[in-house]
Amino acid sequence: MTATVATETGAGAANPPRRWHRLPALTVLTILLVAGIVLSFAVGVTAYSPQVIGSVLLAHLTGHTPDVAIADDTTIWLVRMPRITAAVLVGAALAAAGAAYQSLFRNPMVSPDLLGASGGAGVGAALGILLSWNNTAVQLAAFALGLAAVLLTYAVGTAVGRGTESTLTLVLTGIVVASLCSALISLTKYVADPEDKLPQITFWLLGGLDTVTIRNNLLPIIAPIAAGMVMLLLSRWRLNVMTFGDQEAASMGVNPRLVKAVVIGGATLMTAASVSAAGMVGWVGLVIPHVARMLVGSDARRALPASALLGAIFLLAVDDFARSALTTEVPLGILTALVGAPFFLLMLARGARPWM
Amino acid sequence: MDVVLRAQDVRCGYGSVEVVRDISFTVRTGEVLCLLGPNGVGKTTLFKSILGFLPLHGGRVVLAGRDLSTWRRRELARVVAYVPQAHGAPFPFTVGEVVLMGRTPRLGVVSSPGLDDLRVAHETLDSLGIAHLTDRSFTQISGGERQLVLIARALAQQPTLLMMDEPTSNLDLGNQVRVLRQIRAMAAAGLAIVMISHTPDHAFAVATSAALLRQDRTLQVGPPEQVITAANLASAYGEPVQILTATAPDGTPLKSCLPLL
Amino acid sequence: MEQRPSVLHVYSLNPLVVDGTGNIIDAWINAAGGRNAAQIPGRTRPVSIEQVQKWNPDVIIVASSAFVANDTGTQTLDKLTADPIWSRLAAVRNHHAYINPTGGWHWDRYGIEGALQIQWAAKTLHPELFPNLNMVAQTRSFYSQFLHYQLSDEQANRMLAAQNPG
Repeated sequence: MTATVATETGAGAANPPRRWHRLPALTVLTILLVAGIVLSFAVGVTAYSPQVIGSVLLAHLTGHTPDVAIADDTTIWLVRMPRITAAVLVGAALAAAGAAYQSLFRNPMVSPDLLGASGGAGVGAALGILLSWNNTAVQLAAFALGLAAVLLTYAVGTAVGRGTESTLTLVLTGIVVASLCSALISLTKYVADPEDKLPQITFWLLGGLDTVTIRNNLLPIIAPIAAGMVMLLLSRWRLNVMTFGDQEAASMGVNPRLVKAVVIGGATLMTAASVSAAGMVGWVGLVIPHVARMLVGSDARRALPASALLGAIFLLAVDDFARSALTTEVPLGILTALVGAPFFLLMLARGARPWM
Repeated sequence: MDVVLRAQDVRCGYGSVEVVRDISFTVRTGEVLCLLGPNGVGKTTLFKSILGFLPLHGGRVVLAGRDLSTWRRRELARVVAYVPQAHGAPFPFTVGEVVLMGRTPRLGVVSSPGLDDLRVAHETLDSLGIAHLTDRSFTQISGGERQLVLIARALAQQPTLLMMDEPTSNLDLGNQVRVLRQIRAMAAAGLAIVMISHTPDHAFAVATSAALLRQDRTLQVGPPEQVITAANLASAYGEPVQILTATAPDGTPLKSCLPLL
Repeated sequence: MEQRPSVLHVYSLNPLVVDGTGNIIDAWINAAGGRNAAQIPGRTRPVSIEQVQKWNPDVIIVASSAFVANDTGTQTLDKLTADPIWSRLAAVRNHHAYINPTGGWHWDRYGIEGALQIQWAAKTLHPELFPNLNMVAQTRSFYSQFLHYQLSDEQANRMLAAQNPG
């Protein structure tokens, strides 16, 4: 009798905290992101106090001329503001797209470039640089070819797969398309002028936010990233159901083809836009969703926004390091890999396998 | 009793390959139809065709008085629920979340479950006696518990027809008994159930009718005592068996099928 | 401006890449009476625009590899002047941003035209010290003497503007 009561109390006490700690996680991440943004304005080649940052931002937002030295105004408003915004957007986009893809493809080892979005974008940018297009055209070409590569994967994968379970065909076709893109990138590098074009292509592929400007880089990516995010968030519940496979999802009233099309469309818009502005930034879309799921659980209703917030915080921190640690810029793609890969191994070694 | 499912001269298969033909049967509310037959004879194909996963090659399937082809995906899922064989999942959803997914056909296309759905999920877990699993990870509970959770998920759809694919496979004896008891209770509560099984004993235990699909693609449907006979099983499976009868302590007759080696 | 103006040699604008110390670029900057604003070892180093602001060079020299897309050097300088960030740098504001000449090869790196580069840079950094140095004439005589090629005035001018001499 006593034993029974004790067991029930034990179970009751063990369960509620799990539910209890979940909702605030998003609030805590939001606060961390805001703190990260403030900190990012403060650090850099020149450090600024919160007062200076506040007065510059407030002045611009209210349409006044800030009462600080012109160099400080330039740094805070024209250099750091676009760069910080881009880091937040790209980090959130890549992580959310990765989280959505992992659910959709029922595989936690999947990253948002699975179907060739990054590879296609890389081809577009390399080709644009090779043909001496201007920056806006290079970014547009990257975006367009990122979309085109995924469309190609989707069209070929669906045609070859035919049946209802075409996910595997889609993934294999994605690998083929990504590999094709990588060959095309190598080809452009091979024929590029080693004195001016080749370094530009190389730098672009390594990824970075150092030359982000509002008009050229930021404005073109806001709409696709926002649209993609809305598409993913609208699919958030159906993504949960999709992790049980097409047939079970269908038996629960979900149209698997529609959800796949919407999620792939949304994730591709976000990935292609991110890569077009920031270059090949890997690992964010693979590692961050794992961490997010460890914090808030598997439910995409929380895992998706948590991934976006964590991705933004992560890329912000990495980019702060990229621009502040050394006198030279450290390419972002190298840093995310250097941080992401060991972190992933650490998670594996500690037995924190969120998919088990 | 209302007819929930009627199959008329159904032909079905994968792609252009026809697997079964001229299948006819009826399932009413409160009935449990147990589909038996050797491996590869087309039980699963028939099952998937009724669920709408595969297109019919011919004949008609009528659900709640309406032809299957006129049902929309979401409408169908409010009437027919599918219980797959117990399986793992790529992500550690909680049991509560898995059961909540059964509410999906009752939601708007882009909406998420609300408090009412949460209440239905909890009630379902309660009714199956697995409320204590609510916050456990679906990937860390036992096979038997998973099967019960998948049944709970199907029940959360509040269907009139339950399609169960080998609900007792890979379960230990105790879990088999628990699942069978639930099947009987659900039928008593008014659900129509179609289940695939490889164990004739289970058909005796819970089925109101048995359907035996043979190698020659013919389907024999009727009360379990008439369909599951030593002669029929021997001809369907190609091996001799014997049916034993006994009486339970409460006086109910029991039947079991044993292989003759 | 100090006696030795600080000079930033921009290799690429997008991405932003500049030449640091310990190389032939640093050597001609010093030989021409300047000092390298980019106090980082090595050539073609990626830096942030914040770092450039911090260095606040007196003179900016833009290599032809930095011309974006099919822009000419003049168009590139015009863009710098119009750019909200670059235009606020003292060097750009004071019209001390220049195009590096390019002839048979880039004058600024690893070619025989380095001999012309030193003269061009010296006159660019210290015009008051070399009132009689005529770069068009120097270029023509260099090509004639060492490469046995007779340049027209126009061709020499095009080289000095980093345009294809045709």
